[in-house]
Amino acid sequence: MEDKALQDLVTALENGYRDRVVKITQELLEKGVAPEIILKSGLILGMSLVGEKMKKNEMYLPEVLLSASAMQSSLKVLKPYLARDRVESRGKVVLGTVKGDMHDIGKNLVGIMLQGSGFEIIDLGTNVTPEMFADAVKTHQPAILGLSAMLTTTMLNMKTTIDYIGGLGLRSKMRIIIGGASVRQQFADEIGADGYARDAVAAVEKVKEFLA
Amino acid sequence: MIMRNSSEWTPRKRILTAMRRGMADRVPVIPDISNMVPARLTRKPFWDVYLHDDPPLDEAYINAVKHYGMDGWYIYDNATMHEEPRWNRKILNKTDEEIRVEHWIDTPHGRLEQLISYPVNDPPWTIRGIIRNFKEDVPKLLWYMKHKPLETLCRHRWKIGELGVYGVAIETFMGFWVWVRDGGSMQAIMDFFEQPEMMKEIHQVYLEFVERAANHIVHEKSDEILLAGSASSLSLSSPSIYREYDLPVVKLVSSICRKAGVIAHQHTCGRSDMIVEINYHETDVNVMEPLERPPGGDVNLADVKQKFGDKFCLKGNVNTFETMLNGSPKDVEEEAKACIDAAASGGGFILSTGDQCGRDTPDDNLFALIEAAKMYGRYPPDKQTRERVGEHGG
Repeated sequence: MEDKALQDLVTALENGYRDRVVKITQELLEKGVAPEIILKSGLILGMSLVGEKMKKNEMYLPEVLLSASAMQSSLKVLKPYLARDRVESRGKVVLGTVKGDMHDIGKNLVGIMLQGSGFEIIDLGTNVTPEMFADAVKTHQPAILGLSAMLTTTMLNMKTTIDYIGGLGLRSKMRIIIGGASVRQQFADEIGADGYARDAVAAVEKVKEFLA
Repeated sequence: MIMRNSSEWTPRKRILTAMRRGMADRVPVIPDISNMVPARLTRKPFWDVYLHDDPPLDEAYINAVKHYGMDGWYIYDNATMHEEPRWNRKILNKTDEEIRVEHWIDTPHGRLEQLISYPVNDPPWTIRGIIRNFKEDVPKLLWYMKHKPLETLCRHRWKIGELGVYGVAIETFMGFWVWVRDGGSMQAIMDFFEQPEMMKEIHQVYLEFVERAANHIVHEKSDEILLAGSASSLSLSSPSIYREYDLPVVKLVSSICRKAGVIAHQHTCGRSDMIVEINYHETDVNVMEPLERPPGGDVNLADVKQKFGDKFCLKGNVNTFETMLNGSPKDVEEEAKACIDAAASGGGFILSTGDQCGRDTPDDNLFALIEAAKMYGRYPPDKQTRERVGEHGG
């Protein structure tokens, strides 16, 4: 019975049926299913299937956004129960688009897919200065810092940010991953980033690899 | 018939011949430098160009066309974004890095406002979009779209002359909605799911505007109408949204173009393979671009030429990042040659880039692209080219 409801949750999530996802989440909690099970065998599993479909061009961004929106609504319901049971996230990730750049689609998608994989996301938004990144790193002590840039001009601010954070001695327990349309692995190597991800699915794989 | 004396071929004639799937003296070459590269060439702060019209972007572009010796493509009159009457402007803040400007226009339903940043070295971007509060702002926008005068829309028709073709842009519905919607593309997409009834009403008003604009543009004898569909890319949108909201715009405009003998030309970057196929079967579009290849897109140029070359002139698709920005002139030459081999046979091909070239695209790479068209894109193909194409099965 529980397996069937979890399967329904996964299916509803893949289809982006927000109300249904919330309803099933509530029903599972009422039946006493552990929130961690709902998270892992429902939401994370569902979003990983969404990621797979996106990778194979079987799902498009609007549909992924619908699934993500459903997942976030379910997470709101689950959150107090996860806190009660002291279920921890798989790790904290601070994300932001670097100074001078307002592009956010790719960065947002990375955040959604990481959240769907069980990571805690602190999204600083766009046009984020090195100082703002450094403050967030001090406050949240993330395992991963993700920097995004779309423009060839602003990608240089990734290096400025990495140098600034390194200068403050904040890199020892944290990996830095970069991404964005103009960025490549070679550039990541040149500016001293720990990793590069070409899209949201690759970003999730890279984060998992670093935190394995 | 092919005119052999290349002096008889102006860039405009050359491009129009290709757009009608014919063969001129050679493959036309139009790297997409519609925006950042011309602004860079002025050596002025970008806000001089974009905010103060010193020089206006279209004139900067024409200077760039002359500088590179390329075939020109004038697309600086945009019906959707046409500011008539002119919006009011107020500079709110100026630093060494940006100027923040509020733009507004008053309607009977209240004020429409937009906050735009003009960076010193990049094109402007919207900080606060026109539609913030759906209930309050949509009626103002609908009034504006219904009443916007279009008489001055084609006032720059004379500027490009025979240096290239003159086109007027109309945004696809997604392009229009992403432009006006506060909160960026993500919010714009979610509106289709969260406000479906309102979106249908806005769509209907936009279709009426598009019909009015397209009829005006063809009456003014524009060479083409550009369906500006960057936001219709399947990297951002989906086939179902394209079918429901964008395809009606594309069908309407391309049908008006066909009846008037004007070229209908669609730009949709990123993932667009499926859009090329839909347009082939269901619209009167003549030119498809920029046919972006992986990793940014999903188009195989040779494949598209084989399947859809009997209807479309194809424009593309040398990669903007890997090749134009980060490659060498030799890399550009090789990829340009491969594009010509894949798509130039029989005419109906314009050598271009897989999207807009970045600001820092090296001049040498742009010159290499243009030279490649002159060297390898001659009609009729010489023996060497025929052998090369034969070898590659192009």
